Amino acid sequence: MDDFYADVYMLNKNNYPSEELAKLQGKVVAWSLDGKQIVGVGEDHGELFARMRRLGRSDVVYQYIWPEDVEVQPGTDPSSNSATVPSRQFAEVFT
Amino acid sequence: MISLGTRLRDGTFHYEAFLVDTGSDDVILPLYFASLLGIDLNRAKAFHHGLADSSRMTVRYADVEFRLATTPFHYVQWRATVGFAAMPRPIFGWAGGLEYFNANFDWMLARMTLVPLPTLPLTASAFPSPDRTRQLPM
Repeated sequence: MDDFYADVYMLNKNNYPSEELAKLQGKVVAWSLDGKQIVGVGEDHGELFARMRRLGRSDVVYQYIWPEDVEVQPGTDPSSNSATVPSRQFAEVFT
Repeated sequence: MISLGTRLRDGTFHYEAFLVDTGSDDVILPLYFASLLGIDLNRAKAFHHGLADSSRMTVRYADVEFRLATTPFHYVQWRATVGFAAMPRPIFGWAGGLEYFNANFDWMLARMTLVPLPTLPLTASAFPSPDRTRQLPM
């Protein structure tokens, strides 16, 4: 994890397309350290951990995608199952 | 959410998104963390907690070590006794977590700032030196 920069990670992660994130609700994902891409998806943590270990990937950040992690813009058709507003997640900073 | 590292037996850290929850008395890790960390929960003390919906949850407690990092050169590490329970994702609550930080939530900037308090039981730390230039990978 020598290349993990939290602010860069969160900035890029917040720009990840919400409609793509919406498809992953209820799944576990492995984010790249720069937050730009999802490098692995699993039905549960055990399966994804094992797969990433086989690939030799420890340079990831895991996240379980809950429905509230994806926002839907007011006025859109709730039955369309699409999100048009990027989910707002706080960038973490500590001093 | 914060990206918190949990120390594995080989000394490396497993990073995962923790939900920051001021409504949780404890830091709670899902049960899969126990096998990840090599912790035998059968030997851990169990307590039964009441939840907001009047249900109850069994929580077992064990020690873990956390790393909160902004950059590879700026981090704090501490040990804490935390709970393990049947949860889908880890919760960063008060005991062992938030209790050691002053937290500021800035909605406009979408930024949460955690400032370590003197009570944080540090096991390791690193802070940027003035002459170190950080190259941001974009």
